Amino acid sequence: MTTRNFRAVMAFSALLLGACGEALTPGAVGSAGSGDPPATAAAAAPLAVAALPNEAQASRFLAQASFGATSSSISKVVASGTSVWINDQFSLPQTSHRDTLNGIKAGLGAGGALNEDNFYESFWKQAIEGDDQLRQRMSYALSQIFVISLQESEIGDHPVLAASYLDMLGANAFGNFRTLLEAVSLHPAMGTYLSSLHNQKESATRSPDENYGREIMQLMSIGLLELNPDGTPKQVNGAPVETYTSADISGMAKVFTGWSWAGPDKTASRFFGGTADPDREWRPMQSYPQYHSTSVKNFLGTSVPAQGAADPAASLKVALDRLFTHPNVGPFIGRQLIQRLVTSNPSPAYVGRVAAAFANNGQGVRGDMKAMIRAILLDPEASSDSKVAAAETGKLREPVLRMAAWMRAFGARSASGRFLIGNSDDPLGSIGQSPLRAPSVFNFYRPGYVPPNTSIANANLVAPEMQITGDTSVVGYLNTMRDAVSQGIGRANDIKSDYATELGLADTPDKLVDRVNLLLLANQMSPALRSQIVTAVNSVAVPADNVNAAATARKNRVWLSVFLALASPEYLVQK
Amino acid sequence: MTNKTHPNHPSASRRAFLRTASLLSLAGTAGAPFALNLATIGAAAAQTAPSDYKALVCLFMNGGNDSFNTVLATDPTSWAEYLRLRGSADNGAIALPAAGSAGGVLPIVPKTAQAGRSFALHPNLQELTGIFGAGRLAVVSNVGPLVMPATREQYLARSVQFPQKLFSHNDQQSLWQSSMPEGAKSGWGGRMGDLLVAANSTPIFTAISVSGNAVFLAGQAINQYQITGAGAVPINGLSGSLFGSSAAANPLQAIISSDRSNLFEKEHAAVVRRSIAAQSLLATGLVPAGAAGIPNPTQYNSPRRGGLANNSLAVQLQTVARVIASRGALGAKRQVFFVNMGGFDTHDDQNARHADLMARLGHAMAYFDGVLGNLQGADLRNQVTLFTASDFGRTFASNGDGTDHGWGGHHFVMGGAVRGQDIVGAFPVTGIGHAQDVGGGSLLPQFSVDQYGATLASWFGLSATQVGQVFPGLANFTTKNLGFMT
Repeated sequence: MTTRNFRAVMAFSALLLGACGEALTPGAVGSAGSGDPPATAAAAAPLAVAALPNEAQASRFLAQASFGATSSSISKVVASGTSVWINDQFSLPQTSHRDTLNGIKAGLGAGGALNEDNFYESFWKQAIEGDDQLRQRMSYALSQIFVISLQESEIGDHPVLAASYLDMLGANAFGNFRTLLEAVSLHPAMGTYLSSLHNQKESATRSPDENYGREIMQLMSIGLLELNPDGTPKQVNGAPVETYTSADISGMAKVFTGWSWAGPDKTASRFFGGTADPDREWRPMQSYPQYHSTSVKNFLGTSVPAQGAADPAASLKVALDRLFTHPNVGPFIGRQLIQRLVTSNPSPAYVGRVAAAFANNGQGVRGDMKAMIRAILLDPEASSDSKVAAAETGKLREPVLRMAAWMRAFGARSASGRFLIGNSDDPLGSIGQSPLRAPSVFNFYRPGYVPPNTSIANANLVAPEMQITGDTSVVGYLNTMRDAVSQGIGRANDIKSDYATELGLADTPDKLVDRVNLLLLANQMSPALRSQIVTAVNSVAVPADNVNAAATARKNRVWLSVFLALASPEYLVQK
Repeated sequence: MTNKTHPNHPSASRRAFLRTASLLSLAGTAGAPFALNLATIGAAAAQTAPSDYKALVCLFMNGGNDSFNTVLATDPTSWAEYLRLRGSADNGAIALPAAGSAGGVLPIVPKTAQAGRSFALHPNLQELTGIFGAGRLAVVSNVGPLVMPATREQYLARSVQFPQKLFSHNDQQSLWQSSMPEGAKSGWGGRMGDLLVAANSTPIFTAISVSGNAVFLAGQAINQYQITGAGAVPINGLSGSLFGSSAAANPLQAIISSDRSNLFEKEHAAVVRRSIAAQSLLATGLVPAGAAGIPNPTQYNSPRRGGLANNSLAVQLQTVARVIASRGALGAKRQVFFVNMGGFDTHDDQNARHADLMARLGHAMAYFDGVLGNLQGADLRNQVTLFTASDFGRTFASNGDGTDHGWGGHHFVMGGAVRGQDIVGAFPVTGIGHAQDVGGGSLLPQFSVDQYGATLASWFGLSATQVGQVFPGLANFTTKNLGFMT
């Protein structure tokens, strides 16, 4: 957005603040007890996209753009509008996960070593407490496209690799895709995960490792099939067209030879990892020309000429420029980011609008992540109230987002200050997902996953998150959240909510449930669900004659309303 | 289809018929290549419902196993080429030590000799050499996805049809499990289950995954059931008081399982309903782990960790054995299982990684063989067949300390009904540049996954017609049965 446009929106927003001041009045939303749509929705409707959102709309937006709505973030979005909120978020400073881990390490004393759990602690701390919520959410979305995994012991045993990788994604989340692609390609965590680290040029009996050369194309830039600008596969003679062949992979693999750990020299020992620089887990990989292929490298219709003197940086530039300019990138990456933030099945037109913003941010710049993010989050398909009720709308919330939304909505705090929550992979004993711990580079689930034998399949829709939803995980989630809601979660229940605001509403079940509804479900509760929860809450009697029993009853009322909301399919599907 | 509208349930017959009609109308279109004739399933299966018990266990080696370092040709010509391409410093010395040397490969002698060739298994598959020698283990040589028989020349010219998206992990996993790239809606384990489910009094326990969601087990009528070693864990607070609510006002079960109109909510609720139903059956029926039930596996000797370590694959197979041992209580006659082991994508540090994988594989398979030999007093080996599968084989050529994505690979089939102690099919020439090399020594498969699966399906009790329904691609191959099952 240009400065001029930005000022125009600000001025317009100020106008609206005056005009619709009642939208900010607490209690105006949800018309407590009726389950009817918020009164302000109708008033705001004629103003369409440019209008300031009501609380419900703000909560819905924050489910897409953050790790979950809170009272204060809803107030901010209602006050400023979504566009201004996004711009504000763009300018917030980043907090370093690596610094957090270094701080933990300093506290361990001599001989103390970081472990995998320290990464999760830092992840949750920032996801829950960070002000830069859009960066947090985007970094997490990007971590599911540019996948590394702590399951790989070479990363799990060196959590600074993962911490600095997530820092790198965050640092580039609002930058340019070309820069992001290069930063990913040269990060030692990716080099470790997809074995481009100390990959050598070909010899008589050796070929370059093709791992990263293949996956950067298949998963991180262009995908397997030629796409139209709206993300649908191109058809030639009735058949889709593959984007590359084995020969393209062989050519691309040569580009990613001669890269390894950073350090003050380029010795063989440093290349192969024997001589370790203390900063090598976060500094970008450096080139080692002696191990870089000098032969001609052909891929995707372009070529790196044979090099008299090996020039790894020149090869890399040709390869990344070629990938970056491929017309698939906008629709391929754009569609996946929409799936991560907004909905599993965006219309081709929506993908097309996002891809267009990627292709040109309005100022002739390709790959502007801010433009793409704005296009995703401000699209009518993301924000229009009319979409909510459609049977095919939405996405299943993944376990990490379900947990985070609960923590944020009710102000959960870590007693230790560190968010002592470890690996949460166990589908029965925990939530069945840990951040940056996918089983493979193909992420926790695939963007094209179709759950067999379902109405989703019959409607030719996809549901990525259903790939990790099964007979065991549904039990694990409910039991984990039942305990978390009432007792807390993490080591010694380090993270818990005191529900200060909710306890104050426990004597008025309608208001209590309305608050839960706004924070967790963006006021989307059906009248039936709302009634079920209110009835359950009312069945917990608050005795008038026993202070302690009354306090317990009020807690039970809060826990009941929060847990039942978290358990409901209406919450589990973000719409 | 939910279990409520199972086609074999009388009250569902009309709905099943309507569903069948709609499926049949789709038959032959690209979207429904596997439209089984559901109208005939119930009737045919009821007539031929088996009275004995059989189980098939798919052991998936996730990431693409390097079968060149799993089953090896050790005759001098082969070994010399092996050492040239894998045994020098230039290629990272990813060759294994020779037979007879310390930590060397372990010779096996197949019943069917192959002229001029001798064979061995990875040094960490010691237990498997014993099972091979006892006649309960066969090697099927060079299997992979194929549309039709093909030569290297045809591949290079693409003059006949080949599987889509070769060398891509997710797509080749899907091709192995379902005969289609990613996005497939059913797998051949699930399709076999569709045809045999009538034999089971509780259909939900027909196709069971002990490792998450696998398209292999997705049927067109049946759904896979996912279980873990923890067995049947109930949803707490499902009935009675919840957080002090009155029991009558506890709406948890209604909230989580009632039908919905939003499709994602609807299908989530369907999973919850199945989970609750299965849990109530397993709570009383599942044989426990440990001394009172199926003995726990020992730890395996991990070369990478330099000591004993837990073997999660063995624990998965223990869970399979517990379900098999519970077959009477669960009313099961035919069951298909899926277990999965990751880490096979050995682009890098292959020596250490693959050695550990092989140690786990051998230890887990031997544990399972032992448990089946005395499953609560019964020898179930003749009734349970385990087979391996993987994304693909790998390149013969080294990339310096590992190998890259290939195509065909060698696989194990284990059980009392296996014609064991043999290598099925001609073992490919070792090295690169031969008649089955499609690049870097990647193998053009000699047998299709369809032929491999069809051989197992015939043993499992499917008629030739049914095998053809489960594996439509089998029609392109003359040999419908590879003969490795009795």
